[in-house]
Amino acid sequence: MINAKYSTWKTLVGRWMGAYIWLAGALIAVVALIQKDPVAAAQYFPQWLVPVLSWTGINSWLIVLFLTVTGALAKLGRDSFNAAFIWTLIQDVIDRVAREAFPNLDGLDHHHRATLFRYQQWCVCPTPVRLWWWPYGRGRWPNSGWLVPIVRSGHATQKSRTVFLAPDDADHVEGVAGAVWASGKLLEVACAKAIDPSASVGDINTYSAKTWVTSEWVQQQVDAGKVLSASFKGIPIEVRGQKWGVLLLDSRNPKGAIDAPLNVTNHAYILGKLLERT
Amino acid sequence: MSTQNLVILNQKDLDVPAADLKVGGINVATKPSPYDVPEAVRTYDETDGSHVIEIKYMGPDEPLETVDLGGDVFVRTGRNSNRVYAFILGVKSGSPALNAVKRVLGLMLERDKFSRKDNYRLVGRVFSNANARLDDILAFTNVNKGKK
Repeated sequence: MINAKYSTWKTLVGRWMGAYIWLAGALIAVVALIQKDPVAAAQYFPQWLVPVLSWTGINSWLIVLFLTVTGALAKLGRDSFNAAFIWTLIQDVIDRVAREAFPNLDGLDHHHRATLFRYQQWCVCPTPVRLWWWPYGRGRWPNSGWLVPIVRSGHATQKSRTVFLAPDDADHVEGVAGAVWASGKLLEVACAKAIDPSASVGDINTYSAKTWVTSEWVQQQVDAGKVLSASFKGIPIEVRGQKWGVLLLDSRNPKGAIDAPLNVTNHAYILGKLLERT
Repeated sequence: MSTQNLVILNQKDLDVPAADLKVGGINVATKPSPYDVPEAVRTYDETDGSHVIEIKYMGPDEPLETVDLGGDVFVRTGRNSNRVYAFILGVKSGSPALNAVKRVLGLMLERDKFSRKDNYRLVGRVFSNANARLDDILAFTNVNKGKK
């Protein structure tokens, strides 16, 4: 998950970096002027600055190089801080999606979640590992196309790195998120119950037959102490008309995600707009 | 260029029931992506006399391209999404606007190049006779004048 935390010091530093970019640009112009004609330039400055101007004229290329490099670094830093700010907004939107979707359901926050998955062509370490000797699974590669969880509602289950396969041959997608990605539609999936360590082999088989994962995959998750949700609702997320990822609601309540009274249209619009800036 | 105000579409008219679809070998209840649902329509005349029926969506903007479908009829689609953003009916398009739109949508549903079939079906619903807002949409002075 992206660490969507933002602080006032980042705001402050970001502003200083913005100011420095302008200052560096102005200084480069001044240095170029001095370098071109140091004698003429000296007329516009007080007498005590003449040694400085002389030094600047001699070292002008070094100064220009320094200002260019530091200006570029400041821009990178500012852009990074701006992106971090956008991610905090996205985290707020995802939290709100979960609050709105699951208003009166029993259970803790992490029993009813909203997760934003991003499509990535490459994923070096997909988890869980599909085969002990080849983590990507039979016939798959790091660049097979993957859906990676980026932002999740609430405070718990933030460290989950469950990645789903979303390959070009869309018949072999993994998970509900993968199915949403492949179909490009709003999908609703309801299972009889959530899968926890007490689930029988029959429950696991039934669950896997409805959720685009294998029984072995479900067993692996259960063995890792996870509880798998009973209901899902997912929509594809687009940025400038291009598929970007998937927004997935999941709930341990078998009807929780299906009955979610959610204005998906508004949330999808806001997410698309924010993601344009990341 | 004369312009009609946006006609906001009643989303209940466009709400389709969930349909079963086989995805990756599993039957699942699906609905069209919210990005495919038209939100508003407006019509206007270009200076060259062609009529434009423009469709608005909730989705953020994207680059557009115009495709010539023959008979002086053009369709403007999203370069990334393939959604239909406008029908452009040239002065030689001849047939009533509604027929031209239906013909264009029929072609788009048939051709593989136009991949966003859910979107075309939803736009078709906007222009279906059962839609109560149809008169509002096409009532604009020039779109249907002399073409009925």
